[in-house]
Amino acid sequence: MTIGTPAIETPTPPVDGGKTANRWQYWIFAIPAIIFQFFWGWYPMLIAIFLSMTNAPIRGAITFQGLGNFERLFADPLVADSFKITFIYAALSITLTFLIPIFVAILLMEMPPNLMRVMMLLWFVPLSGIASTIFWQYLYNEQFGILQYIATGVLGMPPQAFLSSERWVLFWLVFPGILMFGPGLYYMTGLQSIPKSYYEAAEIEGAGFWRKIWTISLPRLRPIISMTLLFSIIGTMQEFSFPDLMTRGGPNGASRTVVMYMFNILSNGRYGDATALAVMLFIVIMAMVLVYRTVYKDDPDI
Amino acid sequence: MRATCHFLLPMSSITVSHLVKQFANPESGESKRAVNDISFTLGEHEFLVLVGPSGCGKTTTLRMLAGLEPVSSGEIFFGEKRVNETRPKERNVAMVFQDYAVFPHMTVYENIAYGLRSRGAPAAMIKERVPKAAQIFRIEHLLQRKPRQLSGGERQRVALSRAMVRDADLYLYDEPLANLDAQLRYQAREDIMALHKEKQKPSVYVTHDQSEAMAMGDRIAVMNGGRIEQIGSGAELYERPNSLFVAYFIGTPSINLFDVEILAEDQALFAVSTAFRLRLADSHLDALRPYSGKRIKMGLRPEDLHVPRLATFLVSPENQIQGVVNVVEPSSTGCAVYLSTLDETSRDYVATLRTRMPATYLGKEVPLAANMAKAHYFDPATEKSILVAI
Repeated sequence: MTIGTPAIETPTPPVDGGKTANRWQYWIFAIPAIIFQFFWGWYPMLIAIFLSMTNAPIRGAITFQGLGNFERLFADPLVADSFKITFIYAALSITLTFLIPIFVAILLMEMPPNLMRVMMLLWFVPLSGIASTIFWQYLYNEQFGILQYIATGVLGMPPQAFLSSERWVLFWLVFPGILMFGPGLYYMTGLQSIPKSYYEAAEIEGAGFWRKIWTISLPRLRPIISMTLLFSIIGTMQEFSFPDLMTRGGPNGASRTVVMYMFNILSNGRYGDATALAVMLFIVIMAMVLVYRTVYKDDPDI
Repeated sequence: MRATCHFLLPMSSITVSHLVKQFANPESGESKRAVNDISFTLGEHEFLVLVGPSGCGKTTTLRMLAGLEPVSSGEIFFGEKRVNETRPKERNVAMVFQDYAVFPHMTVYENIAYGLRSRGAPAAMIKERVPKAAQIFRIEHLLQRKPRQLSGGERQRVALSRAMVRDADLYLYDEPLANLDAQLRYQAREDIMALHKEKQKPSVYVTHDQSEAMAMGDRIAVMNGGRIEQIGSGAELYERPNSLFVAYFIGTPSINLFDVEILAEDQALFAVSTAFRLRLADSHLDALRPYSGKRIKMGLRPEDLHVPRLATFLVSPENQIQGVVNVVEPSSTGCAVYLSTLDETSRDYVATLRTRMPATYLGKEVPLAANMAKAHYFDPATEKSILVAI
């Protein structure tokens, strides 16, 4: 098997025209990475692709089933539903937790340094994932939650269903992301690396607040935005733990993502189907990444 | 001349009055005055150079004029209008930055057009002006390039074109030549003067290079420690420096400074050190008489020291210095000779000679005639010039 090779680039000889006899030294340095890539990256993936075409039992003989697993999944309406839910979840999550932090970061940069530090602390305060999940469950509680109090007591709206609403559950699942996590810190570092003189020159050339953002901040953040967007796509398409802890996929499966459904199938002992679903998700994400990389061209001028 | 009489000046002039910039140090709580009470006026077409060593407050002054730095106290007037609180974009100034601040993600064309677009200029005007401004600085063939593909000199010309394309009321330059190599610097200097000649608007130019200041400025303000030491034309600063700092800062090689004692004999005064005894020029007698018997600093410009045979004044034993030649540096006009006196403190002094001195003179003792009518004298306590009444 020559699976390990794609993990590293062909070593380029040093500029001074190093001897090819020294190539083995490059390999020594590359071995840890190759081993890691192989056992935790390529090997499980290939095995998964292979197992997705079998009954994948934990014990006993493996029987090859061709595309039978996939056929079963295509016939299952819940699979299509979970993909739909995942796409909506990813789209919502990217618009809310990806776009908003860009503008929050830009606004933070405009604040006086002391206020900025306090806001950054509030925004990026390190919280335990489980703890904040429990915290949010309390906030969303339909009888005693503070959000219910705000909705009925302050805004005078009828009682809200929050996580029990099939229509709104995905929105409420994404909502904490605005406050809890955002790639905001990356944007802040990106913004801080922009030379001050660009803004000063723009200001002298008559640019106002929005023009400075549009013509300097955003173009200069482009590489960071593009990278975070890619990671956001990959990450949200595989979302599992937060919705699982909050809703267990409910109400009535309205927040059951692909990975959650995969977990359900797995719990029912349908290992082959679960692996096939994983492979399907992999292909979908890979296709999205490839489309993204073709549409987005790296700008060498940044 | 330094009085703030802005009401007498034409509309488009700039008046700076008792300007102060105070920076608070957040750690120690102390505040430091980067600019400490400076005042000057700028004529309608004047090119003023602020020159001084690092940290003298020249850039801070420029940034306050641009509106990039808030004023701690004092006032800035553009014509009749007080602009202390006016934002940079409303001041209608153009500025060239030390790092050029050319936007790397825009083409040269977009960079030059930026200010016009910000101010909502009509498309036809942008189309007409941008290539014209680029042409003046010989970058019209680079309009579609990105700054990454340009050399440092070309990037600088993009910055100049961007400043040129609009009609600003005040042009500001923050050490625009500091990042260029010597040859490009000379060309860029001419480009800036061309811009000034075309626009005929008040300009303030900041540099730490006194030769640049001398070559470019209609007037030069020498700054030190947040204050303006002296403001005047290059010739004024050179011939009549009002302080030791200005005398030493202006001119390359620097002025020679000697610790001398003034001694009175008959009606004459002599500047005496262990190495020489020089008779003071008659024109200086009145000013120096109060200092007789005291130690002061005497300054002699390198070009006021001559080979006796070529001196344009009367040479006598009373205006000669003996020196040992240490280094001879040829230059286009003659040579710079580094000598040490026979003094026990063997600090070098420099003479620039109009003729070439052969290398065989190295290590030899030579006489030099000092043009005492051009000598400068400074009070060692106040470091002010004794000759120039302030």
